[in-house]
Amino acid sequence: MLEFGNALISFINGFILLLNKLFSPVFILSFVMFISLLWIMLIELDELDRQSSKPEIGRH
Amino acid sequence: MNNFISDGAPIKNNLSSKKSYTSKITNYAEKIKYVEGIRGFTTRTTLVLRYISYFLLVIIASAFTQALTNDISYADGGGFYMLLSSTTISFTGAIATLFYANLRNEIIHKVRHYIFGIVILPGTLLAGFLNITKNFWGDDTLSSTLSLAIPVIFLVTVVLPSFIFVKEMTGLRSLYKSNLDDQEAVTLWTRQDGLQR
Repeated sequence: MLEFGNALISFINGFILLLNKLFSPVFILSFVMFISLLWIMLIELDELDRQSSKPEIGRH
Repeated sequence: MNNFISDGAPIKNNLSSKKSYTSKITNYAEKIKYVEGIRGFTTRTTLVLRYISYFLLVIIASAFTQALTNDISYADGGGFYMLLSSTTISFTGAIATLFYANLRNEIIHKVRHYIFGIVILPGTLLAGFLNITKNFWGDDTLSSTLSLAIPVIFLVTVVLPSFIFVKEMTGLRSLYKSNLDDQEAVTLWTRQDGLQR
């Protein structure tokens, strides 16, 4: 039972360490920048798709 | 499809809208290959790789700046401010593309110019200059003035552009707004202005 408790506590400590590392300012800033650049990249991909073909109008 | 009762108005093509994800991706790839050929794939792959390199360049330049500005008075921890500034600019630009969809290409060009042309590359160069000159300064007036002035230039290069970018993005609507009132605009638009004669 004691070993089980120790293992549980070590798991919880690891989880808390992970949270501390993940929620550091540098990581949050990098994540936000990654998401922003991803969105801007998707816009550029969309512009490429628009340039590649004429607009389609479904059954008119 | 039963078109027995139809008023002749255009209807949505339901056959093309109900597709699984796999067939959507396949259709997308087939369309690219049909219209642009293999070059279409390479164009898109280049774009994705370009954005990955942008991200890595910002991280690496910020890390360099953080190391170069270590223990330099008034510029200590400059890499963090560089990362904060780049994140502010890219995030504001991404939000601005939602509000000003007709200007989204210009906004993207501006984001790139601000991040790489104003913040990252000049900021890293300045950090290197700060690191080189940190042992130059003596106790004379010129030295103390210059050793204070260069961190100020670093601040102006790295931190201030993010504020200016946010101001520019939030002011887009008023920048592009016409100064005409409604009546003037309508008379011009309908050519009731007397200029046609």
